[in-house]
Amino acid sequence: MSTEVVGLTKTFTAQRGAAPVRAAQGVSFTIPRGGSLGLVGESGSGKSTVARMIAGLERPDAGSIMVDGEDRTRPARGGLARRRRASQVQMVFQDPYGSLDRRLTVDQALRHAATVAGAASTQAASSRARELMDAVRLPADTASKHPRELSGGQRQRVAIARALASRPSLLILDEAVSALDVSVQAQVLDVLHELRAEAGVSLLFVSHDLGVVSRITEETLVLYRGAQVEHASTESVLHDPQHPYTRMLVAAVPGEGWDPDAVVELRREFERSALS
Amino acid sequence: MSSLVQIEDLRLSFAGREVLHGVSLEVRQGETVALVGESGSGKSSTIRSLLNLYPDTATHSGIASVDGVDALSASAAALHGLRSRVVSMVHQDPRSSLNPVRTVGDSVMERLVHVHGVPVAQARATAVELLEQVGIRDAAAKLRLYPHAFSGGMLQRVAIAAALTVDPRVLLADEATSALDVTTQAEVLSVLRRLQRERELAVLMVTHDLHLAAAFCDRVYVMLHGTVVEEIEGNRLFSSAEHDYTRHLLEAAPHLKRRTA
Repeated sequence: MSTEVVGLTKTFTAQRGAAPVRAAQGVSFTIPRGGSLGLVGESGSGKSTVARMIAGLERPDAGSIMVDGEDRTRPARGGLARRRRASQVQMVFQDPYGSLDRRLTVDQALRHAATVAGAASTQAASSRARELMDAVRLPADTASKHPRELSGGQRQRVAIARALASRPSLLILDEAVSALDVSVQAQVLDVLHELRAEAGVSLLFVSHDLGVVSRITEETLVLYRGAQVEHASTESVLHDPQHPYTRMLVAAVPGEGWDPDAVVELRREFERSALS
Repeated sequence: MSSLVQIEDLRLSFAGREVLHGVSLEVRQGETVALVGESGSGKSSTIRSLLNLYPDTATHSGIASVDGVDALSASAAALHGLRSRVVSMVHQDPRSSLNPVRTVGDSVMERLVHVHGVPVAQARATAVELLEQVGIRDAAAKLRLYPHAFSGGMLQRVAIAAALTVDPRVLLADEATSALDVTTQAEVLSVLRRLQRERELAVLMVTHDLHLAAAFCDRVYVMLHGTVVEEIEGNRLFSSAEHDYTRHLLEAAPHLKRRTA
């Protein structure tokens, strides 16, 4: 089972007379089962719009999105089909504090998710909730806690566990580790690695952080103003970028040899080449 | 020569709980220094001491002096002097640090006009010049716009320009570029570095990005649970850090191996 996206296109028109924003211009990619694709670009490049279209939160103008052999751009027939579709793709957002219900304990939130995903009995829901906590390595004593009592990393693991309740084929992570401290980030990335290997979940990893992307993805797609400017193995995107825009993005990541003035120069170069 | 910024044995407690356990650091004129560590390690609490931005309920001891004036024990007038002309601060989110219902021109000129009594026309000229220096084109027209009309990166440049209007000697930056794209971050820092050299500014920045601290800063202080556990030159951070915690952080930091051209 894989995810196949072909020619995804979306244009937003904010106001009459305002220039339309082309958030996606024919974006195409495939993620194999258990595979992982990074979606990178600056703010406003269309990363989140592409992710939201795949999750079904935004309707594309054109293109197709096949997950588990089903075209998600066509209307689902009936409640069951809609529910199946929702369970196939799940999304985790940047801020778990905003996406979790603060009145529910971890256990309640996960049992609820398990019930929605079709757990037959309260016992089944409880045991599924424990399984999910194990899968994301949440300590057992967090079960009775509310989101406010958890650390940022724990909260984000709850959000991931909840997304996994429906056994999705594709998990979309939209800047899901960006707000975490580096050591916590590393733990969450480890959890995601395991999920790919053990549950065969595919990942669409949306991030502005190329360092993180390099840790978790095999392939990377670079978006600039909705257009796909480069799509190759993460290794080659990061170490042998072909497009001038990608070269600028890579050069901007702080690290050895980082020089902010060089980035400014690369931006000028890129803008010249984009105009010509 | 003594340092421009000197924090000595700074202790800070909120409601009886001590969050800073004797922090000491210094920043010399023209120097860029980073304070790194994870959330809750006390980075922001430490730099806030230099403007005495603590609530009345906090208790503190130690010294946080800028140019010989201890912000923690200074008279109201001396503290006002520090805040209005010696030390400026840039926060992480320009959308909450700039007033959304006032034009960016008002925000940038505020201290010049209302604190220093500079005539509006002259303040406007300074504001335009600074905005252009931080890379905002057509600055004279932009002064009339409100924050919502700017992107995050552009607005943070406005905040930096606003911080520099009074020609401060110390700039405090609390995760000032963390919310920006890496490309925008590089552009903003390129501007900051140039202005810093021209004005011999001392910069003390809080960041969680160890790679940035190493690449941009002369020295780095690593904080853990309210204490400084290591002090090291930026260019030696990755090669020679000695403290276990620093090494642990460095290992966790997502690394991008760059092909050296």
